[in-house]
Amino acid sequence: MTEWNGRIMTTNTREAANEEWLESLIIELRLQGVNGTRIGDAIASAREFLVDSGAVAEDAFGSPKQYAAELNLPVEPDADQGGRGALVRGAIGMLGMFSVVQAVIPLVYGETLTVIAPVLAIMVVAFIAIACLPRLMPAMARMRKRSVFVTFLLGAALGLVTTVPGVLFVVWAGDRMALSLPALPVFIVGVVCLIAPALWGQLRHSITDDPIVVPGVTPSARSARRTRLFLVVINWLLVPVTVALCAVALLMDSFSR
Amino acid sequence: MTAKQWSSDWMRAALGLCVLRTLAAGPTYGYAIAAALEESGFGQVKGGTLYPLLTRFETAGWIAVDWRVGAGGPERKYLSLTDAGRREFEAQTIAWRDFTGTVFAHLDSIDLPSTAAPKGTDES
Repeated sequence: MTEWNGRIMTTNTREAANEEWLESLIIELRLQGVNGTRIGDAIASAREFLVDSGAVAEDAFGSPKQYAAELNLPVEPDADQGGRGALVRGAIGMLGMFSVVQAVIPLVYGETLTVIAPVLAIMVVAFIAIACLPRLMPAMARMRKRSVFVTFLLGAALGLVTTVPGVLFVVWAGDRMALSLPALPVFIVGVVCLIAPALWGQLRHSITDDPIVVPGVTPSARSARRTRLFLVVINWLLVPVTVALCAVALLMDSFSR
Repeated sequence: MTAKQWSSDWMRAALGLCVLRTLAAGPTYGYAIAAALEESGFGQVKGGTLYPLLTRFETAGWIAVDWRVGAGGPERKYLSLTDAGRREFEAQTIAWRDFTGTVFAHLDSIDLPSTAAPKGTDES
């Protein structure tokens, strides 16, 4: 048993807390742009020390963020480019989401898509706001320890809060026509813009896969799977959000007809 | 016996050299270095202090790393001084002795100049 922060920890609780700390350290080092081999080395070193000393990770190393900064490991040269790529993908994905949400009602009822000026303005504002999503990635990644599900819900809530006003405005001001477009092409272009960046992100991640290589261990740990699952969820986040928004738009439209 | 707590400034200044000294005895691993330093009276050296230092030494080429994978047991990262590390250790030891000698010489000096502020200069 170990005493930490005024409480007695059993071996199991300590090991669980230490594993959680090590997972957070992986995220911090990933956010810094450190490659998988160096991360594997840092994790194995820290784990070895924790096993040998029987210490609680937070006590022995400080917070994962602080320790990652103090390690000062070399960063991959294209880490910044990856961030910019994510920004572009986020922006294109947002454009796709708005197009699909705008086009779904006219498409279902065989009408022409009408886009009014205020909706365009709202789209631009929301487009800029959510295109900055990659900037929020570090904060979202750090929330990950609360659980993938909670993080997903928070992300979806953020998307809804930002875009639901636009959908409501469309329903309310449906006949104030500013621009008339055929619904089907807009919907198709929207779907492509929505899917392509996520697919690109997924393939890019697979091509430039940088697994965490723990010395002497085959990289098949549960933590690696959870991290990968989290990245997949974030990558495809806009797709379920779009589906949810389309459902809301159709439901509200059916009430107003 | 309660371990002596040294000034963190002193520890920061001396820890690198003392870690090199521990490594000069032969290949060893993280916790063994911390335990050796504690045994020598430096108090508890935390992983968060030790490993960033070891990482810097590794980047500088002063230490070589050898992961020794045990049969079912935890892997150990064995560290040993490279030739460059050994030269660095010798150079730092000489410099440290020189520095501490200067500090002792100053502390033991009997001809300390008066540190009292001059007074009454305007009366002469």
